[in-house]
Amino acid sequence: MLRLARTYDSSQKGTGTVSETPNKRSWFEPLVFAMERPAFAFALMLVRDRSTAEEIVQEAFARVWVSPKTPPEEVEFRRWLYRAITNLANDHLRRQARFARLRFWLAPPKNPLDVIDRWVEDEELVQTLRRLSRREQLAVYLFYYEDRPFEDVDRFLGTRPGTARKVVSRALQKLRTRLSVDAVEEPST
Amino acid sequence: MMHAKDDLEARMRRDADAVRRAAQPGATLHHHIMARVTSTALAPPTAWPSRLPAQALLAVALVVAVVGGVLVANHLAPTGATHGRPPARSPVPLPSAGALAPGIYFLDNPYLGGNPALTCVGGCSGYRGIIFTLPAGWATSNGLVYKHKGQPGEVAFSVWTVDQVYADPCHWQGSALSQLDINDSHAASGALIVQPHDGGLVNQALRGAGPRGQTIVTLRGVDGSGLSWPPNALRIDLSVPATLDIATCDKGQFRSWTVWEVPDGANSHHVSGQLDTIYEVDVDRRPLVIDASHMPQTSEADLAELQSILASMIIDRG
Repeated sequence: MLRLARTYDSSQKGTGTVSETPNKRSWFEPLVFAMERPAFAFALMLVRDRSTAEEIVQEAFARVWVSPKTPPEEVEFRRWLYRAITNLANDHLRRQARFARLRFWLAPPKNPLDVIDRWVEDEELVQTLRRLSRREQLAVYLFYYEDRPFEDVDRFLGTRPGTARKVVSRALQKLRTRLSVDAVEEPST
Repeated sequence: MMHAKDDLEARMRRDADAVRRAAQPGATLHHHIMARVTSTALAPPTAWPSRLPAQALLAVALVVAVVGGVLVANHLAPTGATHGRPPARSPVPLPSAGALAPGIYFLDNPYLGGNPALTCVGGCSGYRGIIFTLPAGWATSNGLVYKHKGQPGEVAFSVWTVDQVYADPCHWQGSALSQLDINDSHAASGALIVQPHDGGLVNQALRGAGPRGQTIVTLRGVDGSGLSWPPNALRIDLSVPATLDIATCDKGQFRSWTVWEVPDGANSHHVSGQLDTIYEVDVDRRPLVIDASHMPQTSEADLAELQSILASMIIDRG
């Protein structure tokens, strides 16, 4: 039997794989495999834009890779990664808000193809979620969007058992108050 | 729009569902992550600057802005090139044989590797390689990527540059030969079209009841700079008769096709009852053929893995 799917000769060409870089971290790529999708979902929840979310996830992985203190253990690694994503997303949103205030700044025209990727979203809720603290956002995300039990959220936040429940409850209270205030302020149609 | 206070949790659940539905990362996300990580890892180390006073930073920023503005103004003429630097190749080359760890692999076009016996002079398939993602439990040998090889639950795929198709894959010695199905099947726009023809896999004997479905699908593809360039492909589903004793075929082999520029080269990895999904991929010069096969006894889980591998494939068109 002869097959023609010739294998790649690594002696001829550099592969550029991470495992061959000077910083040998064989544990890194499996963690990328395991976390790229939830990380993308988390970034998407924060920024609501696919291409921005992809960019943020790439940059977040690069940052945790570069850090010499990045822990190889999954829960800890995830915490580092989500923190990097949160920071990058907040930077992005802050930049967006800043440019939106500049009168001479013209936003680039929307790519019609982007519309295909958009989903029906609760804009009011999205805006209100963004006003929560980072810890509250993360706790709400883990509990409602990743369906994690409070014990997991506690482990993730690095807090004492029972704290996550309080954080989420407090966040809900804030959301309810703000949504109700915004609804009252909103002109009736 | 007003919402009742107590529907907040329901709204969050709905939003979570929407995010989950939308959170299907692009096929190249993993490659891009690893490329970014690789380029970061290979960049020369930079020392963290010590913290400077805000006034100093502002002064530096102003100088940079002024100098940068002058430089940009002097270089605003279009360069013509819109492609960025090609992304670093992060997939691992597929080894020649052995068990494969889960990961992303790269399968080279064998005609581009400098092998004097396999050249592109006569017109090989126009692609540089195929990137795909494998889950755990797969292995490779002799170009076949498989799980449970030789067992009733076998599942596998292989990649071919086909020369001609046998009309009779069992009694192939002396059989008529024909071209693949997608040859010359293009609209004026270049789009792949299906038209009635003689020969090809769609008319091959002993490969299932006719008329066989021919479906045009679009695979993922990139050009040399990493920009999306998806190729069309013709998908044909074939089978090998479950009751056929392949030992009675010529030389005990069931041969689908001959291989481009390889004397006596042929696809003969067939057993009775085997089911093949063939993709004739419309790349430059000559179609690239992907043969994804499984058995009736293949488990749903293994079949799902094969489908996920196919879905992960990116044709690097060079």
